[in-house]
Amino acid sequence: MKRWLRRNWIGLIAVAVLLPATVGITFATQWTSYFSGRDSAPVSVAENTDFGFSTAEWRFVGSERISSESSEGQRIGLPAETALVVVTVRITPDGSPESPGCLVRLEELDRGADSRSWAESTYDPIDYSPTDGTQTYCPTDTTEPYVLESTFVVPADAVDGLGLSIVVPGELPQYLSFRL
Amino acid sequence: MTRTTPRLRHALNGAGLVVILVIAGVVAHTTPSREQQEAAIPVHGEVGETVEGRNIRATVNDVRIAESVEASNGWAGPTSGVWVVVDASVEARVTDLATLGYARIKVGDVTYSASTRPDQATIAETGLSVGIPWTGPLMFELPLPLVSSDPARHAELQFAVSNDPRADSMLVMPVDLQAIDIDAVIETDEPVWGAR
Repeated sequence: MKRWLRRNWIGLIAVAVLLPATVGITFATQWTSYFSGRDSAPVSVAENTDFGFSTAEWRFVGSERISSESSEGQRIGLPAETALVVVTVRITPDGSPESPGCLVRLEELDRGADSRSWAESTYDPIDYSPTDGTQTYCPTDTTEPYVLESTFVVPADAVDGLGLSIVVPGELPQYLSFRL
Repeated sequence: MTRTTPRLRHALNGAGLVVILVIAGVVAHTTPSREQQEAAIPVHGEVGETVEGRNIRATVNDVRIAESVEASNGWAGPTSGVWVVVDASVEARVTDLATLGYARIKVGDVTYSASTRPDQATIAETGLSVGIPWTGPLMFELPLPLVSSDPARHAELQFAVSNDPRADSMLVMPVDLQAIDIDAVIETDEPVWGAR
């Protein structure tokens, strides 16, 4: 056995090095492409702070929560045991010919793998009218500052650790994350 | 300089080869097929209890059978068979990028999808909200002889998000269709969003 090991030690060391390296490189390539194509790298931004991202400055202005039990919630027609979360972001394009488009979601930041997320309530059967002068999406054909107002219908138990995520497709895997 | 390989070494090499071939055979024969690898992951529950999968939570509140149905939007579906009406609450658990795209009843080897003919009067193919249930009817059109057949005693309700439940949770709830009386007509409630 010792003779065999002595005779083949170079090959054995090569296998011991190359086999794990091959597996590692294969996995690394797969994971890198997986994560680079999705919103996997949050950039946390504090409230009322201008933050340069893509071709605009982004400022999380604030949020409001309307309970389904409140008179406003009943007027809107929120379902029982829910709340409407209204998030306001001020966006100042930097003058580039095209402003960044965006995809907005509300998500739970502190629940790990059990984190829930919600799309905007655009198609939900409620009777909420956006505040005058605000946008409900990120227009790409403007160079003027504007205010984005996003609304989400969430269950009443979604209270703590909510965050707004804003994905600018060209900036993936990075995305903006504002803690409410 | 040449050395004669001992017979013992030959025997050991042969035995090692046989062991490797046996292991390879076992692995080859026990490896799940592609169909098995991609199959839906069943989550079993009972009518009346809340059943949870990866991104779906559902409660079947009632199962009824009738010769005709009057839906909340005025739709009345003529059928030469019967309608199995399932009252259920369904919601997403993690993300609302989900619909109740897979709502079926399996009787024996035959599977029926929930009808979309009643349009908005059922929750079939409804977009699901996270934590906010849609409650309403699902309607399955079945041949009359089938609900009185032996396989009907072991029918299964199957729910999943999207119309392709492969590699994802599929809620499975047994139901004895034979034990359910057949009504002349059932009036269904309007689907409701939110806790009822």
